[in-house]
Amino acid sequence: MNVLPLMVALPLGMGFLIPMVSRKNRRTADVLGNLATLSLLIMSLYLFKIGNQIYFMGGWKPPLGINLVLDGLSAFFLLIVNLVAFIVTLYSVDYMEVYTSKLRYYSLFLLMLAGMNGVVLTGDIFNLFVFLEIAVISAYALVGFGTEAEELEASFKYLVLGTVSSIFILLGIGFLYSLTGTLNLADIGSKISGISAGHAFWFVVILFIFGFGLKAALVPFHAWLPDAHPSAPAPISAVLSGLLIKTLGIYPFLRIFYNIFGFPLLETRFIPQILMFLGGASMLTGALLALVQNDVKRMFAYSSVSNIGYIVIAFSLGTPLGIMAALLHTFVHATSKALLFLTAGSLEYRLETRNIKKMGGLMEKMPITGISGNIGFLSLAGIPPLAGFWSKLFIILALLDAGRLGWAIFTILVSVLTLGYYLRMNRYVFFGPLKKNLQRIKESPVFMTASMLILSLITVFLGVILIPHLRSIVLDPAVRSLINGTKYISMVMGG
Amino acid sequence: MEYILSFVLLMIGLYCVTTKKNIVKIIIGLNIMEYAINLFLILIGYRQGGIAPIRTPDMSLAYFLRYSVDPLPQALVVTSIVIGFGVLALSVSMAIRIYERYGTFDINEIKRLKG
Amino acid sequence: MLSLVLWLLALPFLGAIVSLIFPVRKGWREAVAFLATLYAFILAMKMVVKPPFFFSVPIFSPLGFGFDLRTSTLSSFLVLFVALIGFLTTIYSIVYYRGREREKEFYAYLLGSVGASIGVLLANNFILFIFFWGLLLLFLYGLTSLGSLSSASHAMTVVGGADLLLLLGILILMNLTGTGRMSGFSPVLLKGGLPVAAFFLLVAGSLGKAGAFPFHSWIPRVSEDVPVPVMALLPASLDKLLGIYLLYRISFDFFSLRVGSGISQALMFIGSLTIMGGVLLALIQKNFKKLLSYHAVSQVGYMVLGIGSGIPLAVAGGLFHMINNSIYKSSLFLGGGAVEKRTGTAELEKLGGLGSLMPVTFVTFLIAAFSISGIPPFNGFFSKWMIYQGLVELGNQGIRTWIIWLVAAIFGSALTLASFIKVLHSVFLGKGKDFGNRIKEVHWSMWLPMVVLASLCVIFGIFAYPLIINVFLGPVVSLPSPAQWIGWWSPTLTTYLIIVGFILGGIIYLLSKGVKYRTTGSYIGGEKVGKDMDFSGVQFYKTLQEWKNFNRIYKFLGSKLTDFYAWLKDLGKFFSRILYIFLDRLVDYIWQGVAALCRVGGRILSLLHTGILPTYLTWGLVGMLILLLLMLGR
Repeated sequence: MNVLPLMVALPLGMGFLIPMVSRKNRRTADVLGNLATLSLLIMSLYLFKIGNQIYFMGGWKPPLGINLVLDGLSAFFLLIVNLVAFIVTLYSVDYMEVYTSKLRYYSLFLLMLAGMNGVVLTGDIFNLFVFLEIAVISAYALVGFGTEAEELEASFKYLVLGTVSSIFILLGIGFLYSLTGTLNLADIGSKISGISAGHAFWFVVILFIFGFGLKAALVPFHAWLPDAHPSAPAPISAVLSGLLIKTLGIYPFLRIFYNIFGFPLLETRFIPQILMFLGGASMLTGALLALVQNDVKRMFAYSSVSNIGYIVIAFSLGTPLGIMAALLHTFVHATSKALLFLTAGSLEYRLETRNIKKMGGLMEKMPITGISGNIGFLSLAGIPPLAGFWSKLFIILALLDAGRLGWAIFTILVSVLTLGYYLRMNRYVFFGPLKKNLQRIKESPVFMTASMLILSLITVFLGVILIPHLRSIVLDPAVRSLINGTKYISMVMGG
Repeated sequence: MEYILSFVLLMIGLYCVTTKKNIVKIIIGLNIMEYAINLFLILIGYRQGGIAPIRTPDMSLAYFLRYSVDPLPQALVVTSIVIGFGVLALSVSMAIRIYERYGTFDINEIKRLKG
Repeated sequence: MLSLVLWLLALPFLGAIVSLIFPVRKGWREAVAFLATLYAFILAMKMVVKPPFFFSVPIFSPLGFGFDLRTSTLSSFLVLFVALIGFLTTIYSIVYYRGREREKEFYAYLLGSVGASIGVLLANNFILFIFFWGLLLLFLYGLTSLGSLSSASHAMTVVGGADLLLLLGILILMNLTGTGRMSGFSPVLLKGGLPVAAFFLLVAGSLGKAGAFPFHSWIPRVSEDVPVPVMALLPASLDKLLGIYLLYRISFDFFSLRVGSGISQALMFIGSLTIMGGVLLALIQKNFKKLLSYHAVSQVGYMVLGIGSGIPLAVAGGLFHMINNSIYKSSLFLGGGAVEKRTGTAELEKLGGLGSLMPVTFVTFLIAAFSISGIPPFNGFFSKWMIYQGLVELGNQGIRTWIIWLVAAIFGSALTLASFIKVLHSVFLGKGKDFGNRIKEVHWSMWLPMVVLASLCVIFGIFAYPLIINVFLGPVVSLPSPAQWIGWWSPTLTTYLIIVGFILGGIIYLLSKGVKYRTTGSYIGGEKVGKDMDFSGVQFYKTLQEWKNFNRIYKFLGSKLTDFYAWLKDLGKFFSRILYIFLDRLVDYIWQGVAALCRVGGRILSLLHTGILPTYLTWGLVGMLILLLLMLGR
């Protein structure tokens, strides 16, 4: 049986099923939601075994029908998405008890998951847009899920900026269609090489940089993120920061620029240069802003802006090493940042505040939360044996390898800033004297701590992905599918 | 010429979103932008004096191919309208909730999240 | 051999994990730490006698990254010392640390830093090396955080900053040599911008670890509140061993440092500056832990000076001094800890007369203090003597600046002695303070490590050549035979002379036994010693001040003299202020400045995020417009 359509259909169907069947028994929603994400995780692991595969929807061969394409890159992103999604649903079991409507939460969450899986799998550019909209509209709703004033405000800002960017993406798709007369990604790729790079083509590229750049929260398109990510419920913040900005922002960049437009575009040096500058600006701005935040989640959100900058800088190098470093950092940031947001959620759950000045000495009172938080921040601050060290090291090595000494030094300096703001956070929250009013704080409930522990273990041992054997299964195919650029086209069109 | 018209419409929508203070007007601006894009998509597939892309049994294939407009953009527009509708519904319901909480529609007053 | 090396590497980490997780019952943690370090020490002894060894598993070949290990004569000898110091510190801590808070973490970090140090010494791959190096930083942070968090982050920023420079240097060096291995390439010539930049970045990293100027300020800072075993383990010995080992590797394995080149002069300048600066700042300290830590800084200067000169004899001296330093400095810190444990204070003014109450501590401290001050026949003298000879040799080769470095080194040694006389006087001699009956000798498990270290001071001093120089350092640094040394110092002969002196003294003492004598209280100038005559080592200048009241006849002269003294004192204060700002706190100020700049930048950016949606939208649209214009103008 072909599991590719299931990756999208299962969460989509489950998303509608859950509110219908579990009105009577609250636990049914928990069980079904977790079952869905667990089976998705298992399937995404299984996908590594079957290698490249194409599924033609309704049996229509490209370029006519819509197809789902699985290659190394898709499999890699699917693994990240479904791994984090599973842990987050586990976490939600206890955490979402505070909110009134768990059913709608699961429903929206699974819709968002379906959208993300669809974006990663689809081989059709308009279909990509549709999945992207499914994911992002659920995200708007989830950001405003608490319907408090700030949450609505953040949600509305996100909605307006997100819709404007979606409109520009759609405009770009329209232009591409008028240039090539097709919507199939591979077909566009094969036809675009024949078209001389006129102004219309470059306009499309700029539109995509704006559109996907806004979804990925690159500076100066980042302003919605520090509002939206902290306002959502903690598990959703984890998914937004850990997954959404990458699957809706970074993945389309990679897919379209490497596989579809191919290397001629990258060899002009113009687009890579622009992307590197945007990435550098994101890195620095995010880190500086994170340094002065007092709200835990807002600080993590700015840190996401900064980390997206690292990823963009690394992949816009275009070297195999740079791409590998970018993908590795994507994975590391997904798990570490999700872990941090879950930790922040656990703090908020018990303390009912997010202000770090009101915390202190919580390491004793909430040991598991403390350890998870420390693992997350040490990883992102790039402290050795943790995963974040390796990805940052490879980013710096890739920059040096490409002869960008200045950028390498800049990256190192920014990572010092990163260390600085995480140390500051750590000092205020977990160490230092215990505040008087916090004497009675207990550790969070079991599902929350369990999911945090699982994610911490993954974050600690993610470095093993670099061991040759594992790397040849997980990372290398993804890198190869980007480096071999237009091979994607022949794979889809030939199959 | 028609393309320019849809661009003018897009710019009007963008102007509305960026400069208007009332969030209802901002939502309207978003919709104007969406419809500008829909118009643009339709225009891509349009040809002068074309017929609807429905092949009736008495129509020869050559005739159909020669005169019918491109059906694909129309399919896109239908989907796009649905998406636009979803966004509209969500944003309007959100606007109502925001009015409940803030007591105003002025976007410049809705700025509790900053820094 | 492979299993031996791997065990040696893994054992401390295993111990760390076990002591962090498992034992809840009293005493188990100590037992785990004790056994782990003991076994590591035994393994290290086994390794020393084995021939050099290579081992390599490539992990990521395009980058030259792999799990490469290597033992050499020097590194396995240093591993032995790391294990020894770790073992002794553990024994010492069993009683010292009992019942303190965060005991679990203490042993875990202690074992972890021993393991990481062994890893640094055995690594033969730059990335593996920086991995262990960074791990050590982490454990340093953990251990210093046992004292106070603010001093821990101080240490973390300074050492972390130096590590960052090291990382940069390593990256450039890997680019230059095209390999990730730490051996097997011919030394890079120090010509052109990039090699020199890499050299200085790497040196900055090694000096940061060793705590030389200008990366030293964290050592005195943490010494105040960190438990003493931590000081004895990390800043006093492990950090020095690793930092100077790296400096040696940089200067002669990675790059080829030429005698008399500008870079060599720069290194020697840093060395001399560290000697003088450290010792001058040590002189004015009133807290003996702080004083010891400034000496820990000062001593690094000798090693940097010796290695920086490039003369084989001085290089061997520098390496030998590094080993000696870790012995006597640990011993000093442990002795200080013993005093502090019993009296509860480290302020010199509050101590005194402990020599008869804590005889073992006193004797070991005395030996270590003589050793650090370079008094023959202890080990510190031998290594310093080698460095001096190397510097004279430098003069013979026509390098004019030799005299400056030699004077700095000897002068620094003299000042070290001066400051230790102050310590010895204030703590062990002098008039006893009123401590009640609490003061007695510390538990044997605390004095045993001190005794071991003190006897090492003596052994290494007397048998320096046959035991250390000939066996371990000779092969590394291709040393000339003793006959060619400019001033061959035979410690054995001297020791015989000293022993003969002792015997003669003993005979005289025995002969005089028959002579009658009476005992009486101590008196000064015919007066019995009263409370008002009591003075501590830190109060020397007080006598000068009181002199005026004491003798009114010399009022005129006296006032002049006090004025002059005050003037001198102000001048001294001024200089030490300058010294403090420009040497002691320079790196701190730079850090603070950069940090403040970052905060201001963050604040400004934060103010820009006003929360108004149209502004955000405008940013995005303007950004896109700029991209469009760029595209058109391309």
